Amino acid sequence: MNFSKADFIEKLRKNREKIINQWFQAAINTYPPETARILDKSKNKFDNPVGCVTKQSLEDVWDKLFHTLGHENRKNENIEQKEINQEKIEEALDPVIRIRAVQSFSASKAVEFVFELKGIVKKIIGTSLNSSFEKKVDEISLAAFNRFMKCRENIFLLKATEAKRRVHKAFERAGLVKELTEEQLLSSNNKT
Amino acid sequence: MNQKYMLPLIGVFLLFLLAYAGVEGANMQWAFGIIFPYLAVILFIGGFIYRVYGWASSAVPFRIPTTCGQQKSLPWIKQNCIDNPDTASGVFVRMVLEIFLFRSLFRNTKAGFARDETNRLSFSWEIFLWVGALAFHYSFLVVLLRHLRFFLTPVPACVRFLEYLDGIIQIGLPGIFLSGIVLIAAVLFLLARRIFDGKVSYISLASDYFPLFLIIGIAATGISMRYFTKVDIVSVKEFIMSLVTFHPSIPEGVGGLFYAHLFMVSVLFAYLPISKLMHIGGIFLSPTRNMANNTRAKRHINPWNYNVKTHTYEEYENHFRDKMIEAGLPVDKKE
Amino acid sequence: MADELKPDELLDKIDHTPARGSWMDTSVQIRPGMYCYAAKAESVETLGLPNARAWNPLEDDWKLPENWQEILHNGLKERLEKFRTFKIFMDICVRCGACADKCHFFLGTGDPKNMPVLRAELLRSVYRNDFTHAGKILQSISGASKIAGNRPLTLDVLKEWWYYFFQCTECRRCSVFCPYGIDTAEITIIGRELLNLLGLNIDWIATPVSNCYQTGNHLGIQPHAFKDMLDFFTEDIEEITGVNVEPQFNKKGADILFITPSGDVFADPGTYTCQGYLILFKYLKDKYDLDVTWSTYASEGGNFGFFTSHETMKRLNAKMFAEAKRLGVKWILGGECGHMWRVIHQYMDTMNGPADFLEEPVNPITGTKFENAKSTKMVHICEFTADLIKHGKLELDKSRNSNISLTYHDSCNTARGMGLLEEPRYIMNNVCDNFFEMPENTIKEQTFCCGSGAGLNAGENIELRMAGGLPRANAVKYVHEKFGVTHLCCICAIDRAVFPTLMEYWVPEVDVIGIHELVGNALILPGEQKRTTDLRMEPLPGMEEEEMEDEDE
Repeated sequence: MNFSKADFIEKLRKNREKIINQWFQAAINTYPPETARILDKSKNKFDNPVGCVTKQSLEDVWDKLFHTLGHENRKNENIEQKEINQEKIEEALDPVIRIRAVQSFSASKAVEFVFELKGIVKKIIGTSLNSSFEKKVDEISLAAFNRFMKCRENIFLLKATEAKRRVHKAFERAGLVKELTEEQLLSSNNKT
Repeated sequence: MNQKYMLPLIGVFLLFLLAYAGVEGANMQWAFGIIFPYLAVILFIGGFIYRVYGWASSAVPFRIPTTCGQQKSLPWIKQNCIDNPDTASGVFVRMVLEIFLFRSLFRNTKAGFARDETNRLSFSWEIFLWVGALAFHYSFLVVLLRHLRFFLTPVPACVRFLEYLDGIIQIGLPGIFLSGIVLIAAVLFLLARRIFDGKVSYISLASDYFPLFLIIGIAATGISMRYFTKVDIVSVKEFIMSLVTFHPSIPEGVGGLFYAHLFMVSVLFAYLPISKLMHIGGIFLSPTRNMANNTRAKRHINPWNYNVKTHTYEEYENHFRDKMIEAGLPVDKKE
Repeated sequence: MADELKPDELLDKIDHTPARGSWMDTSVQIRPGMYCYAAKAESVETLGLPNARAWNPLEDDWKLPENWQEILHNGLKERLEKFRTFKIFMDICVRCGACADKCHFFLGTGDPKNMPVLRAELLRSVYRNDFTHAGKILQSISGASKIAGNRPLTLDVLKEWWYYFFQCTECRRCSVFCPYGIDTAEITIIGRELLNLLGLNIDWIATPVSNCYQTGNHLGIQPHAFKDMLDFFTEDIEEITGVNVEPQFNKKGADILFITPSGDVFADPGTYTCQGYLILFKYLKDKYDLDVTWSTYASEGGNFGFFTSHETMKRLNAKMFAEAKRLGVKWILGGECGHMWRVIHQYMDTMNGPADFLEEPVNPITGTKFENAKSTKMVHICEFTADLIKHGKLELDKSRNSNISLTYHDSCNTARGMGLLEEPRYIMNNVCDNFFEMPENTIKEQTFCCGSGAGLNAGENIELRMAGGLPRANAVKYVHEKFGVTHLCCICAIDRAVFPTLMEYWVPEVDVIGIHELVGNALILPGEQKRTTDLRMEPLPGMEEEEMEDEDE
């Protein structure tokens, strides 16, 4: 068992580039094909922020995942360690999820690409997946959901407080307006 | 999707067949050799003038160049005289660079050569758009100029010199002209880009494919006449001179291929004024490029400027007078 | 529409991968977060613009006049004659695709209809159908029109126009790369003008326009409140510097009339830039006796009319010259703003000139003639300040900004509609030691838009704004990580209003600042007390301890 697991990890290591590339393809294929083509093509991170950030982010996530797999191999994780890892994964996912959170994807579409990792690895490695690997991918998916929700909350908060932070704060400093309630601020923002 | 380029492809093929069969089968040399060319030239000249006149008769209400460099402002700040010209000569240089070197298109490539995160030298294939476009337009120009030898007697020295340069790599007999090969390669590249580049094929219309296929057809027939079927050049020249001198006569011994070539050229000329190919004329008139950025220094006149209703100071003061007085703001009328 | 769908249907709708085919096959999906609310009837009425009514873009019925197609057809026809730009841009695009990946909205949202070429094709397809000979011939052959890229003006097409013309910030970046100079801003401007013929504006534009028309500024701040705000800044500055910088209002016979966007007066962090202006003018008054006045009537530099129609732009802009004439000033000085300067630089003199009642602008302190503004007679404050600094007329203490690490965002309009690139850089380098440029393909004429210009800085379309601002934020993030940049400097009121939110989402560690806030911090006023804080009441570098003691006392 231990041997085959080490073997599995070795295979993952060897196929890093291939797996990441296919994973990246799966992620950008959620965009319309003509967009995906551009995201895939330009390597300049300023001319093509979405493509480059996505790629970078996936590489990070993969390396973190690989790292924890390797560790697990040596000793059993304690709970504390697990939480730290979970947090690290979420941070690594942040850039790509942060982008997808403002691109009018539904929540499921936004994180769908994470689930595809299993199929991709299976196809490339050619063997059935190791259960702890599957579990890790599930954890990444949950982390992605978490991060997506955080970004959405962030957006709603920004939306609700922007007016206050901008105009209202200046007025308030000048003593020109009395404190407006949160509802008033929100209602002026939500007309339909 | 396929329809977008299959239909133009079939269309061009039918045009070819029409002329070829018309001449070989129905002996309609007079139509494809005389009527259509004259008609095409009339449509071309008339249409071109009509379009340019149409643009010129639209007003230029505002001077709104796109500025791509430092403006002329303080004497010690270096102005970018070409990308942000404030004089006619600056505009002239900008336009020359634009028209002859496709300067704006070249801007695409700037970011093309860069080292990415992993320090690999990367380049986007946008540079090929610029290279391909330049290659296409210049080889087309050279081919056109070479054809002047059929229209002028005696053949001017400059045309002969151009031919000499074009054929400088002496392979085979008759010697290969570089321009023809470059033209075919460039058109095929532009076509491939339209078909295989996802974003470009998404935005392409049938009218983008049609001229490409037409030019491929023209080049292919031209090349095959020169290198393979060996058309009788002397007869062709006599025939074309007869057209130019308005004494058209049909030559002996010139086959359908020539008429197909001529017919497709005629179609291209006639089609040009009603198509996007009019960018030939439009580029000269594009107001974001051909105007100087000196609107604050020199007043531009809008020919249709009209008076509008505004909210005058008087109306404003009438509305707010009490509040203004109370706040200690000066007013024109005290009550 | 979207909110009436069942969840599973909704999923289908939000699918980003449409069936491959012509872009005309996919009809428009108006997505929440991407569009702005419809204009309120009252705001449209104030200016007497057509078809004022309550309507909702998500409903099927947009309450259009019966003959809306005819109105648009005639409107298009009229504009083809009036604008050579429009006519040529309709005709000569070869769809080479050079512009496709240059638009920040396309790069950020991934929506292919945000490629500049397609944004224009939305209109071009109708133009080809209705106004070209070829289009008319093709109409008679069934199926031919569509293959040729022509289509009739239907309600779906109209909705698509509305959705995508209000997803363009008129930043002109695509125009830089177009081999024919085709300017999508121009097409959007005319597209919006056409939509306004049917009363299809967004409220974030229509209401500021209506306010500006009646009260003189976008926020609808009445004259006494305007004065109150500046008085309040005066108090704050006095607390910091010990000098009373009280401004003058509506003063006849002043040397210079100063006009800035009202955002600088009423919205953070523009307010600090405004304090910078006040300090500068006080300095010039005391040292060189320069007499500057503010106006409550022309209290808006910005011009949301520009985002409505050429006519509305002219109606709002008229106040500047009218007020300068009434007050009898020599020339006009304009504050930091983007689209305000596009209007002043490329439109104002033509629309509302000639300004023959003003003098050709000369800086009375340095003697510099502003040759580039000799007809319009309005000078950008960065040109003015750069000139003062160059001639050594300002006493500056750079060290007060030494805790700031700057990068600079070229505002689209001043970069691509004017070419004001080096003046602000010169000022920044003279008031701050730590200045770092963002990568070359994101600055100067290639600058990326903030994603909220051209009247799109509303709250309801925040996803669009965040996505559109991504390319810009991405470059800021890079210099933040590489050089430790702390502040994003800009010379545009909309930038100052929207960047804080954009930064908070993408690069929360970076703050937003205007150039004249930096100048205000650095400028040593005659007779000032020892400053311990900057204009934001934060301790100056090296003063942190003294500040603490002050607070303890």
